Order: sequence, then structure tokens, then C-alpha cells
Amino acid sequence: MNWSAIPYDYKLLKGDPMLILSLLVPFILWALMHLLFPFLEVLVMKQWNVDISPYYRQTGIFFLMLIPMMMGMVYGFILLDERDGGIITAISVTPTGKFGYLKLRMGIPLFLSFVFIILFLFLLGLTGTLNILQLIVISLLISSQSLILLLLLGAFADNKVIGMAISKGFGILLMGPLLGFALPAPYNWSGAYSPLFWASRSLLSDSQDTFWLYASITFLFHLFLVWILFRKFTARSD
Amino acid sequence: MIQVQNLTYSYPGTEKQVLKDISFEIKEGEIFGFLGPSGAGKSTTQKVLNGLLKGFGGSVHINGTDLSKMKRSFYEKIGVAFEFPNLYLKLTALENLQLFASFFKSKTRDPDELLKMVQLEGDRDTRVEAFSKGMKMRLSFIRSLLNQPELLFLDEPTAGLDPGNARIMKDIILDLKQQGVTIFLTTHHMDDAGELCNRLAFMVEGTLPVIDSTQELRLKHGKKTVRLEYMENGMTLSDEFPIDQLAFNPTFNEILENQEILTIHTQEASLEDIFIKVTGQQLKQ
Repeated sequence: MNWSAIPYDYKLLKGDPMLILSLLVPFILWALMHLLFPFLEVLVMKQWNVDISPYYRQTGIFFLMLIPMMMGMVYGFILLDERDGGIITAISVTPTGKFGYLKLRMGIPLFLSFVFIILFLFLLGLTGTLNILQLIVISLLISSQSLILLLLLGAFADNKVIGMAISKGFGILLMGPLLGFALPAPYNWSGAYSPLFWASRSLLSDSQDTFWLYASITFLFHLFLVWILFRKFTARSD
Repeated sequence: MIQVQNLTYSYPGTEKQVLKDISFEIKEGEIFGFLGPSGAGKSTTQKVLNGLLKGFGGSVHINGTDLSKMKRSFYEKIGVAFEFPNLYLKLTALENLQLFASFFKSKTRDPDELLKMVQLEGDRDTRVEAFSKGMKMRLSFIRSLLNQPELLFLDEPTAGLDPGNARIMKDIILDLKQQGVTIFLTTHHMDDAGELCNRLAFMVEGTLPVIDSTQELRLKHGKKTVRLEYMENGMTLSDEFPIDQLAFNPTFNEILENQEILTIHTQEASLEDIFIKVTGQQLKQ
């Protein structure tokens, strides 16, 4: 990994308010959960006599899934900027090469997502009965969702307009855990098309066995998607 | 240094061959130029040679190693300047050079020294988005020199430059040649090709009908005559004389001795004339 290139990312981000705003999303989500949810809890109870507190964890987990998506989008758009400017081609003829470049582009959103997710889990008390190893594993798995969006943009988006469309379409994967939470069995399995469905199941597991089973499915699902998209990206002639 | 045998290339998803069975050799320390109109395949050839385009036919060997088996360390000693400057617009000139220097393992040159070479030292801390095209071209050019390359690929290096800056670039290129750097240059600018290149290949629609030294091309295709312009009885007159045995030509000597000479020129053909004569195509398309 070419660590010395990282400080320049800050300078690339600095000029783009939309990207900076996206990086603030984890804090906004935390504030919504921390401040708004208790307020809503009281309000909904008063108005409709419904207790929404059992859904605190599900809501938090859904918000958590937005973090890697935002990171993937931020860095995916930097990648598209670099493609537009012919930068990826210029890096391709250095020893770092396209592969080295991609490692750098993938490493930062993965790392940032991981840090934010771990913080999110602890600060909002979403850890449940999971031990520290399980929390690290599931945080890494959810973080790798950022790579899928980044690579999806890198592999298929020729420009930012297509990039925006892909990012919006990516929201379909977020529907997976929502379907899992909202629908009764067996309809809740309709969210199984999304790796995030499996990740959310893993996070909500009560037993060791189910945690590792769902975590393994999430891992294999992500590995398959990253592998396909990585190949597609590196096969491009830019 | 570079041996190319029967090179063919078609862009993925297209049937049309852009490079049609071309063969050539580039010797160590020479400036080898591809001269041809836009769309002839010059940049495509460069992209194959610098490893950007894969899936070509034929063989390419660089320093005896098959290009398709080249390791990434190959790029430690390669420099590439593209036709269109591809720089980080949001970074300053200095930051662009520093960031790219970080992509090499080997020792790189001092960015300030490079900026000074192309008179950009005063703009080192300016964001590249505020640069003119000429400034971007110069920055992109010196970026290709960061790693002190032994082999340099230059694609239209003087395109978009004013004559003053084009002169600076050409002087640097000639200086690099003096230092033993092998340079592969593509251009559709005949003056650059004539001034810079030891050998030239004419490229037309993916083929190389002519490969020869610049000097030989001029001699082979030029008229071996001298044209004299002189004043006689208040009138401007001109005459042409064969170079062969010129010193013993009585008419030539008589004019030299008795008339006011205005100009004397040997009648070598320009590269553009030769290109049109050999290929039947115009250069500037």
C-alpha cells in the first residue's frame, strides 16, 4: 500500500462539498439515532400508544448499513473524477499501476467504514450479545460493502451521471435487510438477494452458530461480488 | 532497445485493425519518431509499447524481454507523457509531482528542479485547474521525467505550445538524448520530427511504408541542387545548379564573383514533401 499518497486524498475531497457532506453522514446518522429516536419513542407512545423501542436495534442496524454505502460513493466518485482526467491511465504506467491504485482506493473507504461502524455499534449500544471478535468480523463484512459500490462505479460508470444512477440503484441492496425486518416469516426471506440481509441477520443473531453461519454467507457473497467487479474493473483499458 | 515484429492491434469489440502487421526497431539512445496524420495509429502503437493496451498480435521485446511478460518494475525506468495532459486539477503543480513521485520505488528527481526546467517554478503552488493548456502540457511532460527514465514515450510533445515553450521542450528532449535516454516520439509536426528524430517511420492507416534516418530521407527525396538568388542590373534573378562538381561550375562561379548574391539554398525536400510523395497523403489532417 502506498501510504504516502493518502494525504492527497484530503486535498481532492476539500474542493468538493458534496463529497465532504457524504463523509459527515455517519455523524448525522448517529445524531438521528441518539437524539431523534428517544424523542420519537415518546411521541409515538403518546400519540398512538405504540412502543417502538423493540425496533431500536433494527433501525440502528439499518442506519449502520448506510455508512459503507456513503464511503463507497465518496471514493467511487473520486475514482470517476480520476478516470475523467485520465489519471488512472497515467498511474497505469508507473510501478504502482492500476492494481496498486485500486488497493489504495479500496483501502481507505474500507478502513473508514470499519472505524465508523465499530464506533456506531458501541456508541448506540447495538452490540447485543456479540463478543469483540464477532463485532470486528461483522464490522469488516459490512465495511466491505463500500468496496462493492466503489468497484461497481469503477467497472460500469463511464461518467458521473451514470455513477449517480448506479449509486441510486445500489439502494436496492439496502432493501434486503428492510424486508428481513419488516415482513413476517417466511416472506422475510425475500431480502436474501442482498448480502446486507445476511449481515443484518448475523448482527441480530442470538446464538454463536447462527452468527457464524450468516457471517460466512455474507463473506462468500461479498467475496464473489468483489472478485467479479474487480476483474471487470481491471479489464477496462483506462 | 525495442524490437517490434508483425504487430497488429484491434480495439476490443471492433473488427477493424488499427495496426496492420508493423515491424520496426528502436536503438538505444536514439530518438525514433512516428510521423503521420491524426488517426494513423501512432498513439495506439505507443500505448501497446508502454503496456497500456493488451491483446496485441505479433511480438514486442524491450531490452530483450517479451513485453507480455514484463513485471511492474519495468515502469521504474519508463517515462510516458500523454497527448492530453492528465493531471490532478485540484492539486497544485508541486503536489501533482510529489504524488506521482510516491508511485515509484526508485529515487525520483527534485520536483522544483523539474518545474524550473520548464519555467513553471513561479506556479509551483498554483492549482492545476488554473493552468493554461500549454502549462499543463509542460507539467505533464516533466512528470514523465520524475523517475529519470531510460526509455521515454512522448505523444505529440509540442502540441498546444507557443513557439517559445515548444523550443524549451525541444531543447530538453535533445538534452535527454545527449544523456543517452531512448525516446519514442509521435508527432504530426514535421518540423519537430525533422529537428528531433534520428530516425523516422511514416505511419499511414496502421502501416509503416517508410522507416529511415531523417538525413537519408531528405537526401533520397530531395533534389541535389543549389538555388541561387542574385541581383543583376537591378533585377532579382535565380538559378539552380547541381551540387555535384559545384566548385568547378563556371556559371555558378561567374555569378558568385560578379553579382550581388541574395540567397543560397540547397534544395532538400521538406519532410512534408517526402511524406506526401511517399504516402500520397497529407500530414495535417
